[in-house]
Amino acid sequence: MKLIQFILLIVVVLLTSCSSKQTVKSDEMVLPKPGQIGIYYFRTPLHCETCDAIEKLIADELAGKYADQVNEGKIVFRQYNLDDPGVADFALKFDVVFKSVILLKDDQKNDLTNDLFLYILPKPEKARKQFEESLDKL
Amino acid sequence: MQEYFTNLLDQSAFPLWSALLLGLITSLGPCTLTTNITAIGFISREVSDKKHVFLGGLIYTLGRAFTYTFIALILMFGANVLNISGVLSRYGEKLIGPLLLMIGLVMLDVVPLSFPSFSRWSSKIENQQKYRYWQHFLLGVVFALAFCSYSGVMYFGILIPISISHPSGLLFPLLFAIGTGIPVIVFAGLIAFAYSGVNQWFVRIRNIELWLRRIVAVLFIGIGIYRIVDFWF
Repeated sequence: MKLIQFILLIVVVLLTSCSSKQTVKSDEMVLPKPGQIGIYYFRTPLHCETCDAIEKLIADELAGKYADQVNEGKIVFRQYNLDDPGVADFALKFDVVFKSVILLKDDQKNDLTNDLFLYILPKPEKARKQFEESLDKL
Repeated sequence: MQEYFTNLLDQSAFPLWSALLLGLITSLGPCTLTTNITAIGFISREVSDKKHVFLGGLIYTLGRAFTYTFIALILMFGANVLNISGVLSRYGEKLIGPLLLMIGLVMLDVVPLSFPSFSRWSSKIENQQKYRYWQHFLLGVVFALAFCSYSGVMYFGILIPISISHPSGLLFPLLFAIGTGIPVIVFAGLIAFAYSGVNQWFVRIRNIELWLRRIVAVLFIGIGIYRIVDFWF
């Protein structure tokens, strides 16, 4: 009985101290306009240290080095929650089934998922470089 | 440490070595690290038998290797990578919390896991050392299935494409599994070695084992609840 009380106590403490599920609102499910670069980030609302770091990297880059291109509409960032209705089907158009970051421009697609997930935590500068190189190539 | 192994991976010119390093890097990722810590706790709960602890670490890794190789085999025989990786990556991380919680509760006998028709058979096999290793094997199998964002990308995004295109493809998931299991093998070895060094102090180790089992169960429950809360709330 004491054991069950102890477990319940842990549950209550954890429930009241942690609430890290994030709200990820899906953007409109459309392709980038002709000539426009689309940075499409597919994720879920589950807490994920790697995903948060990737999101921060993209946000920093778009607010910094690429701010002008974003303002001019040359680059657009769209985020999708894979749990939202219709998003999984939309993601399949790009062969995406799980958390992914892809760059789109006209008929070109560049999947950055592997590089960003591999480097973002141990070598964030390399992840930033890979992101910039890929974006600049388009 | 993850940075060090990532640097080694960048410099690696041998695909098989890269697969091992990729496994090692994955083992230091947030999700695999959690399952490995839990596995070390589970394996080392019967600390009086150092051979059992060390072999337990190896067999747990064998369980992981079974899962990784089996999935790779299915994919090599033409199964749809997108379907399988989608299901395992999206639902694996959601399952790990409830799974750990359940294992912990079963270990504490809070949730009895006895089926009348199997009770005689199960008590018979529990008393035989060789069958106890199945627990470690199954733990490795199940924990390897619990793909999260990071391990999912490492396995399905990086390892599987190399495996499918390489003549020695099936060796890749095997080496990847060994890489993910290295921390468990090392810690199981250290625990076994450390125990033998202080053997004199643990004369009544049987009593300690009972408490170790309880501590491990509470560890499972704690990590399980943490994962549930972290993911779902």
